[in-house]
Amino acid sequence: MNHLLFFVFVGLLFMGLLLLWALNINRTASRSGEHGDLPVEEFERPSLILADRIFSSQDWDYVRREASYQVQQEFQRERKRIALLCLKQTRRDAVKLMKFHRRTIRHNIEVNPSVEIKLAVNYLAFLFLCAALQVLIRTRGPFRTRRIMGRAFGVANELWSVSERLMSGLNASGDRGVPS
Amino acid sequence: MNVDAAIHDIMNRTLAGVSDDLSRLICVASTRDYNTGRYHHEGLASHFTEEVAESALETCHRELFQQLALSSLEDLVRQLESYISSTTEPPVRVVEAWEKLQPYRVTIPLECDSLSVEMFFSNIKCALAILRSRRARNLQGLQSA
Repeated sequence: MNHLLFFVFVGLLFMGLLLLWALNINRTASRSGEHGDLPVEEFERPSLILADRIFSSQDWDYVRREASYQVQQEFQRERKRIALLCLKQTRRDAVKLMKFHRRTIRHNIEVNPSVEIKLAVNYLAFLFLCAALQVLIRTRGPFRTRRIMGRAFGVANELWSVSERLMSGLNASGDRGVPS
Repeated sequence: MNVDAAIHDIMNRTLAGVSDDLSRLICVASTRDYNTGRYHHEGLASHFTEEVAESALETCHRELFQQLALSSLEDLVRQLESYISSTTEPPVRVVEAWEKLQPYRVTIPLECDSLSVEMFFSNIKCALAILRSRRARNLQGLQSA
């Protein structure tokens, strides 16, 4: 019974979030924003190679071997700062991409609901992973969060791919619906 | 005569005697005018054209920087050590000047992502701290011997 209630609660929460997201489309529809005239290809995909380098423990192993305690502390602080910056930039780019996407599709009646839901789920999963990563980087440092980072960037890449596929589909149908 | 040929020329002739990417980056960055951000290399421009030479230098600069931003800290420390020893100045003075004046800031290309830049600056700062710490350790070792 408790399990059932839990799943009902999660389901309602998820639907509520989707509703909020849908309402937000209408709110943003009236505004003209930055990047409204850019094609989706202009939004740079997050660089997994650079992120992997930032979160890799290879440098930390080297610093532990080679440097004094003071330098180790300095290195940890620096790498934490860079990791948080990397996360912030990726999150900001994803938010921009979604804003652009919502503005582009808002007048298009040929939108595929299942793909849109997939995109929304990916976006929510990415935001959740970002929030979790932010806490983990602050508490445990970047080197112990590499796996979650990999997952967050995987979801982000999926987000970009779905959005690109959607946009190319809209372009092909001759109705881009780019806001004026 | 195209940009690819000019890039080949830079990598295999102009920079042939330069041992590693950090020294190459400093070398290519020094061909850029700080005020305009435009590259100029007399020999290259006379062999190709001014535009081709500029475009080739810009591409080489960007690629060298990207490689360095992604290189390991261990590799960067090795390259920095090699560069410092090539200056023939006392290493301690060079490290001190690099820490205070941060001349490495002018080596970044005009077109590159800000995260790579931050990573590069951060790694250089750490590499300098490691070199300083290593030198202090060596001095301690000498004094205790």
